[in-house]
Amino acid sequence: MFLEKLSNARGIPGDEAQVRALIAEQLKKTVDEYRVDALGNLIALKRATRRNSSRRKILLAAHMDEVGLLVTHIDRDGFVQFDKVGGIDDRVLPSKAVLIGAARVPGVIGFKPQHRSLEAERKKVVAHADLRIDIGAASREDARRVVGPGDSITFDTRFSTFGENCVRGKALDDRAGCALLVEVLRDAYPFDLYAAFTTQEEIGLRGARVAGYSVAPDIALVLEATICDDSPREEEQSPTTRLGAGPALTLADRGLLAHKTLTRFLHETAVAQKIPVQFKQPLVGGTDAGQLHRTRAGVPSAVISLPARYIHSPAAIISLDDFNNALKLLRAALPGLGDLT
Amino acid sequence: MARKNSNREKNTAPFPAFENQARAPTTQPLTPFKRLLKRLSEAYGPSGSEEGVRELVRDEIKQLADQVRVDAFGNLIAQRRGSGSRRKKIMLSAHLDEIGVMVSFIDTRGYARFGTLGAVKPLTLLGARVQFENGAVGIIGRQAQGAARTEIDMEALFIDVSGAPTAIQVGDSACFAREFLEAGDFLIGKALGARAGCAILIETMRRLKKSPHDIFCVFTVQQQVGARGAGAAAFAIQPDVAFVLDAASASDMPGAPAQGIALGKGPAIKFQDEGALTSARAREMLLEAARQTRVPYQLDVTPRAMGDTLPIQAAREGVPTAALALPMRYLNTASEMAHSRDAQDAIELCVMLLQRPV
Amino acid sequence: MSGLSELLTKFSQTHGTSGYEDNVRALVVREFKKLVDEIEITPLGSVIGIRRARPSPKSSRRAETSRLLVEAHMDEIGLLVTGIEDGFVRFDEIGHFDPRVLPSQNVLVHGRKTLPGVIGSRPPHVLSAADRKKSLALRELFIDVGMSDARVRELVRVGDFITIDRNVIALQNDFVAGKAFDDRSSLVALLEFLRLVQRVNHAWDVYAVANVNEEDSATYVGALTSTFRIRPHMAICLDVTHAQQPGLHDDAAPTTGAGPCIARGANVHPRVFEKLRAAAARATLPHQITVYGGDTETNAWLMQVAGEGVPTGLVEIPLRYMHTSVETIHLADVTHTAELLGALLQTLTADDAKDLQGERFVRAESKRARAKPKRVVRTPARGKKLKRK
Repeated sequence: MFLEKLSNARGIPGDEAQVRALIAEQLKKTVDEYRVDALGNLIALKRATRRNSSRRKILLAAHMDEVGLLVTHIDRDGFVQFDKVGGIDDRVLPSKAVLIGAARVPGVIGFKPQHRSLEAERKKVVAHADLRIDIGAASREDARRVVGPGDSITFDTRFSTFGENCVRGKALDDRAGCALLVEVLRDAYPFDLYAAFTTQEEIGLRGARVAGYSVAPDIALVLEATICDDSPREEEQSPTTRLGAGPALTLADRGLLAHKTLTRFLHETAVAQKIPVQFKQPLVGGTDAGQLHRTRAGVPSAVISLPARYIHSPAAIISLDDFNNALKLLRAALPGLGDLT
Repeated sequence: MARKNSNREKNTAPFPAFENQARAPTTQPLTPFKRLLKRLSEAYGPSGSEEGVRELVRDEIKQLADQVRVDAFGNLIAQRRGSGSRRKKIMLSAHLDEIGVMVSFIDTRGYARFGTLGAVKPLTLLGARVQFENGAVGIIGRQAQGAARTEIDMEALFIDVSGAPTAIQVGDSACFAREFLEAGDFLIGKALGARAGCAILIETMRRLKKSPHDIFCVFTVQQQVGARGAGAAAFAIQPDVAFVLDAASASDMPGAPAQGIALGKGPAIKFQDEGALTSARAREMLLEAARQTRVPYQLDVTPRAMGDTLPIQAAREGVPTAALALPMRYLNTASEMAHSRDAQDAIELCVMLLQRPV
Repeated sequence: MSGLSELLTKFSQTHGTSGYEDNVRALVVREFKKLVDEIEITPLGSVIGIRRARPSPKSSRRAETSRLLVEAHMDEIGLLVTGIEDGFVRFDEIGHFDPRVLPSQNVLVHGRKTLPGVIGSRPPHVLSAADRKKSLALRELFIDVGMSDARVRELVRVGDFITIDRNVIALQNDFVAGKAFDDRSSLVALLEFLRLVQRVNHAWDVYAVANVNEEDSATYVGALTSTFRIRPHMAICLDVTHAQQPGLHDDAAPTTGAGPCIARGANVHPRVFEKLRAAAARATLPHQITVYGGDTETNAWLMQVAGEGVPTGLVEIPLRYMHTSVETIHLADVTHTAELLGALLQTLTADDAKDLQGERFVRAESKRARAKPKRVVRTPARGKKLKRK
């Protein structure tokens, strides 16, 4: 499965080269052109199939970067200090295995034994700045042989199948979207289809901002992995999305009020084709569409997401049923975007 | 967002539920400007759902411009060609949208949880009536938070739509339901900050007979959620200079700092806006116009509020942008209050601004 | 270093906060005139000085000369008059001060006249013991200009700007202290760089930019718009960064006097970082590396995403006591920053812009298709802009 390769690849914001290379290799078989821009976005073009096709430019986007860590400094004793890149909850960091840099140097995030922690300490979250990564180095000099400031750090999580038709892995946000987009590019469409595999989404939708500007699309559609909060609870609350209930459409999130006609069309297509579909809880989270819709003089934009439990942690879970249904929905809906009014 | 919405009829009458109760305290008929303001203030139009109020504005201005269009974002752009040989492209903008709430979840008993659109405060929501696009009206209720709690969490609030339980869906937006009032020289209404800017802009277009400049009057969308629409319009128009018409928080009330602006002392020329310092060159043009018309004006350095200045300033190679604001009490509540003379002064100032050569 | 120190003194002691850069802009234009071929001012007031390429006679000609943008911001943090009470001036801030550094600070109020003033607060003798332990909030402070209420109202208006009144102080060992070294020290490095390249050949056009409005609100609107205008093939942002100092317990922070810091992280194009580091190594210049996970809190943050995106680098001068009136730097770090830029420019060949562009792929059949003369097919009605409903 291509998703497995993507999930296991290293790609924190600003260091997406490995993911990009994997995708580019696939695209050589399916697209007419691609280029890599100053932010590292991989932007591909698949030309319209037939004459008299729509003149619209349609942009599909998925981001390549994942949340991760970055080496900032090596202690005198050879322990690694790090910064977070993207939104990671400090509570998920202790006692995790990580890989550092291109050489994938293994390390562990240590934690003070509870035997030696005061009662009051145990209730507190330890800030990432107070945590260190142990690579087993004898000294700073010893550590500097294999790691250095600026090296990226990712969670050491192997992709695996899980439960009933689910998969578990790191970086499924948004490698799942990338995998979907690679699949979509196998087909041909009656309009010029641009695909942007974007960078730096997790630190402010930065790749999408310039990709949107250079492509200047008429419609933008973002493929994402989104919050899924469907664990049991006492009070009746929104689960944001439900795992296995189909791809989720966005009505509004923190950065986007989705284009109504476009979103309605996607929903109606799903209903007509009997593809399960759900609406994500409004005004939660944000995606590249937050920048894309503000590009130039404005771009009608919508978002299709896969519910992903434990997003932004060392391992998320998505349902392959959702993945396949999202693909079905895209295949059914995309041809109609050329002359949607 | 309408989905499976065949059962939902669109009701364009502003206050179906309260129509008969709404009564202005003064018996004097409203002037045409105040009638316009009343219609705009009472119109439904939270961020992202500005279609209705945009149509209202479009009807007013279609005779006043050479060209009127709606862009991909939903901004309404009216253009008037100038006659001067050294004409500039001047953009004036006011925002159409108002603050509101969006249904995020409906529980099994029909109570709706919501997220906010813009600077909605829980205190001002308690007990408020809110209206949906289809006319349904809900009441904001609060769940028990324990007797000792004095502050209100947004998460503890919900919308009670028992009167029309099937009328709303997740994703529907609502705004305050409140009628416009004239009380002496004062104007009171919901969304007055937003819509007074629109009314001033419309009236300026009406009174401006001739200008040397190419003028672009832009009624922007999605301002309250982060000034998202204005940048797109500025990108397309590429103006030489831009002016934002908006509201500014007045501080002529108990407990407010002694400095600051007051109602009835003229429109305010803003020094800062959310994320932006207004441009000195554009500010100077406003000051010059004020001096020429001899209308009173105030200088506003009050803390920053969401405004369209930054995205316009940041468009392409940069656009010198200033902001003219109507002093307003109780901003972002259901009863925003302004002084009618300030509005008239603002119109006069804007007309002068556009007539003068740059 | 006396020439450099003089220039730094001149820039530090010129007054101009975000939004009020007129004095600094005039000085920049005067200095640029000696060193560049053309000067442009952007609509928002940033100054662009263009030094055209001086290719060596042997080098190959190209249709488009590549553009290197090097920028520093010319504004400083300051205060803004919000009102006058009994002859005392109330104020708000432009950019961010820690209010704890303001009491007893000499300032200049830039009204109809420039008035010296002092930031006053109530004497500790009249305060309770508890109050004395609390730091003062901005709104509790006021400026005393020693004039009657009527005279102050004549000379000062709401919206006038206020700056720190501080002359540059020469410390031991080429350390200097003063106000607005953030970012005038970079501006001086930029001028020094332009001076260094006066007599050398270089294949790229140099766009030296003094940007407005960096300190206010972290929106970097001056740098964003000037970068959009220039569309550079490579851009270098110059700014200052927090150096080791008493009380700052950060092992990772750089040291003053140990050379400029070359930043790396998502905000920096990896190849621009490599080019800067290689240039420093080749010229054997002292330098340090700083690492940023995300936002560098400099103009670079928005320069990188201007227009279609710009390969961006960031070079920082280490500085102690940021955003106080005694910002302290080592003069050698300024010189070395200029030399690093000079070394970088020397390494840039006409082909380097291409090297900064990423990989390109065009399918073979697609190339043939495009080589054929294109027949224009008018598509009726279909594919119009999708309106917002």
